[in-house]
Amino acid sequence: MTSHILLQILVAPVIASIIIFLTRHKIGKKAGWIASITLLYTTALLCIVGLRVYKGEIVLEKYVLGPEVSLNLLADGLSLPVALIINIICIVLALYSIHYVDHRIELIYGEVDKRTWLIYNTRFFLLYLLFPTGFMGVCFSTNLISMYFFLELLTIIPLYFIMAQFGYSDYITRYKVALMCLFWGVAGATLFLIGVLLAHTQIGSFEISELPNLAGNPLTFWIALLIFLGLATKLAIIPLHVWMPWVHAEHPTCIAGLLAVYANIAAYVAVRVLILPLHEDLKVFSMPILVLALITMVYGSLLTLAQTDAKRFCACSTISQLSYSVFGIGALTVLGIEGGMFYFLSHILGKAILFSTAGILVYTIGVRDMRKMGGLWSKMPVTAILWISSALILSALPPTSGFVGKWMLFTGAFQGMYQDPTGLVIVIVAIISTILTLVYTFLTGIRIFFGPLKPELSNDKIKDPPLTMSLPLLGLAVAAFILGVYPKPFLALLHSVIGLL
Amino acid sequence: MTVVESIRPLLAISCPVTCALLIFLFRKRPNIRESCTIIAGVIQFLIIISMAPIILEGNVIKCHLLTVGAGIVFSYKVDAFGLIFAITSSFLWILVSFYSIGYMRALKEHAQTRYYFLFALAIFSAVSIAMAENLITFYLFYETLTLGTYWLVAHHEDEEAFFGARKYLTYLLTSGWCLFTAVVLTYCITGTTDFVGGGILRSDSASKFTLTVLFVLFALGSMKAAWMPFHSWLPGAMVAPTPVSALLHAVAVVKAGVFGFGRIVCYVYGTDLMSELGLGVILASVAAFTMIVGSFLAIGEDNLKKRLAYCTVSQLSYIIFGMALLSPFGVTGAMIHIPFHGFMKITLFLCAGAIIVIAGKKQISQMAGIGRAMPVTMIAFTIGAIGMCGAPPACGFISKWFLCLGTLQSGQLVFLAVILTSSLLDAVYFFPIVRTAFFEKPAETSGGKVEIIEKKHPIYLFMVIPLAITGIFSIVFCLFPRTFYILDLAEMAVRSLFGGM
Repeated sequence: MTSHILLQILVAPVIASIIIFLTRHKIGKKAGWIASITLLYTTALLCIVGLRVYKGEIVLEKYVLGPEVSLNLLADGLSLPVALIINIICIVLALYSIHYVDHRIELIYGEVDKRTWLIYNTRFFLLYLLFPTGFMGVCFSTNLISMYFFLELLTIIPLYFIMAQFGYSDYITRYKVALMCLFWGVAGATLFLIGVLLAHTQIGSFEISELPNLAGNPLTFWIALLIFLGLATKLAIIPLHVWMPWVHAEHPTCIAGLLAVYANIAAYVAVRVLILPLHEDLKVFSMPILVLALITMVYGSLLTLAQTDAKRFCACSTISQLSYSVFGIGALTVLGIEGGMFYFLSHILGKAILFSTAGILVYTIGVRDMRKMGGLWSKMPVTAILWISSALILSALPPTSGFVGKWMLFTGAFQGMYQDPTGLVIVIVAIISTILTLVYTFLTGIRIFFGPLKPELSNDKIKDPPLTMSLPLLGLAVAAFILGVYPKPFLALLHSVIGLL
Repeated sequence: MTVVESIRPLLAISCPVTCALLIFLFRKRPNIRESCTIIAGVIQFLIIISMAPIILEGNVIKCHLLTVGAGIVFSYKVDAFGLIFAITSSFLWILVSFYSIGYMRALKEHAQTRYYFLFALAIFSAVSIAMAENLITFYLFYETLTLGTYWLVAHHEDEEAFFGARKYLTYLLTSGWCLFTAVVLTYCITGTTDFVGGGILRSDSASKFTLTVLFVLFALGSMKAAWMPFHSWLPGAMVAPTPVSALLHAVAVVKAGVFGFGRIVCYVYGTDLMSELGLGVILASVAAFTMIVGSFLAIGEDNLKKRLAYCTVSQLSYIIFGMALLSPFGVTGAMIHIPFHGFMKITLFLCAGAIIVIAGKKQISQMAGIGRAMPVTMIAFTIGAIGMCGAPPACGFISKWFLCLGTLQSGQLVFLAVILTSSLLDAVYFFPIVRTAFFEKPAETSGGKVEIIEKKHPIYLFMVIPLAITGIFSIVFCLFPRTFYILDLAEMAVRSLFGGM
């Protein structure tokens, strides 16, 4: 069981996906459970790898695919925590989807016969399982081309199909937005690929471990710029953020959480591909990145404050939250990068909860306009608790993981900047602007859950969702609290790689 | 200075926490619920006062809670200065709980369980702030205090209450965020956030600009001290029930702000660095401005509670002012003004509340002749008013005496004039109230004898007795300032800061 452990983690979801496809007429509703159990299995494997890595081992598996391109998988202190958290989120959202997809199919396609229903249902899960594979691939691969493959092909294509088939608005808009997502994704990916190919002309290899040879090369600036621009489209840094609210709003909520992961994993790629190998050459970028991140943080938060649509609200919040990670990473100090990565983990936990809670609201009430909600505390207490815990995580209050991340990333940012008055002011403004997160999460929460109950909401249909939806999310909240109180193992893992700078 | 490891701080704060749980459990049994509060208050006070002899032998009591990592350490350390604040808030909690029974029941207020629950949490936060060992712990409880008291301010849940509460939250959360920024920057510069007598910052640890910016951030972070121009949340928060205004907005919340100033001036910056940077004089000037202008605003206010609020604004600045004098006498005066002002101001507020409940009057202009109908209340009020002006035999005299000595000691004669002017202004807005109450004839005299309405109903005794006790204490503190070890503790703290008077 433990031989080829990383390959198992990577391939198991694909195999499960194929099984679901082949038996689609038989398994019916069980597709979701098959997906969840597969992911539980990979998570268990990840925990085993995690223990080994924590003891100081580095797990490296080599598989040659062809000339120059290899599928080497590397689990070290940086890739493992990221992979573990993402996989946990994948399980939770798979469980959450079981009910949700049922409801979506009914809503989009109306009453369908059993056969059609089965096709749609299994189609969702077989596409869904490609996400964990893609994310794990991005985390573990050591080769730029295979990373590109996982980052782009395995995530964008299922994203396109799921959005087009299970999205929110009418048929035409759905496809339009799905295409928009595809184009932005491909554009970013192409920039990334050009950067990678340009690097290849200089060092003759696609291996990440060879990238430090670029240091001091006159072309490094352009390579870094191209790769960074490619990643910035995913990270929705201003002015490349246009796609985010559209795409997030259009998604079936059950994978919207994964979309936040999809966007945020670019932060991991940036650390892996740019910052660790080319730390010295990136110093020029530090200030522009910080300024852009600051603008995005503030703009994203203000944009969120202006939203009335539950799903767009979450999407805009993602824009600003992503930039926290970028801000920490852009400071280029060890603490800043560690904090940025930790904040990334915290954010995807919190955002998965927030998105799914918004999904629950839309699922039970049937409207997306938050102005039509109010006083739901008495009807849906569990949902309200979920919302509040995600608000705590996102606004980085103690004792959640967000606080540790925020503390570290801003300490790191100050370390690089406090001697220089401009830098000092930028960091101070950045920290104070994070209060906007608190404002929009809690203000909206109060609007939705407190105050008098709206008369049109006082029917018996409105109640807390079934346990398969709420329990996994509560699990995520607990995970975030544990990370906030006892982050030591994760920080030690991150430090074992990033601390080498 | 020897460090004693002890769990007494933990025991002390576990009282309000347990109490909060019990309050929730017994929410259907008001009598048990309210006895819990009082019993917990008494136990907490006994535990806290039992620490005083240990401290006075020159020890500090330490109690470690939790190390999250990377500088985030939550722990308690009780020193003389912290103990003064802890004694004050825990003792007054008992009396105010007693008073609340009368006030809340007489007015038949709604949501009394929530009220007592949040009250316990607020005391928990205030005592934790008093005993915090480092800035992180201080910050954590500073935020819990803000968030927990929101619903106390918004207790009436009408438009005015929500407006006041929103203002309260806006000011104090912004301030919390500034404090967080300052804490991060301090940690980044010094590598520690512990409070150390004489300061942790040195003039060579960062540039003068950085240190000044940091101090501004700290000052903004102490907006709870209601220094001008950031004071307007305090009169706005007077929409809360009177016991809340009494305990929180005369003792716990606002004193947490000035206590924070004390910690920052003496234990983070240190008096030497403060005078070297010239910050002492600037801070003293801001405080002097607040003292004078606050008094003028109080003169123009007809609502009794609001007038008291402006008086608090002005009096809090005495404490900031004393700290900013950077001289042993000034700091002593500031430290003892924390409990003394607490006792006097709480007397005044309790009187105001009693007048609202018993006589149903909020405006000063309606209070003609009320002294004859409510003699105990108005005598207590008079004692408080005398104390505010700094005249014997009330304890305001002692603290003002030390403050005046402090100005002389640091050679700032202008500031002596400021104190005296401000005291004069205090007399201008307090004595008309006393005169109206005792010497003016009520507008609608029924002729003949005035009925003493204080004892009309037994529930009123719950209000009159606590305010009589605090009134008596205001005099006791003047005659015996070493009651509850207050002056001893202040001298102890100053000795360890300056090495002598």
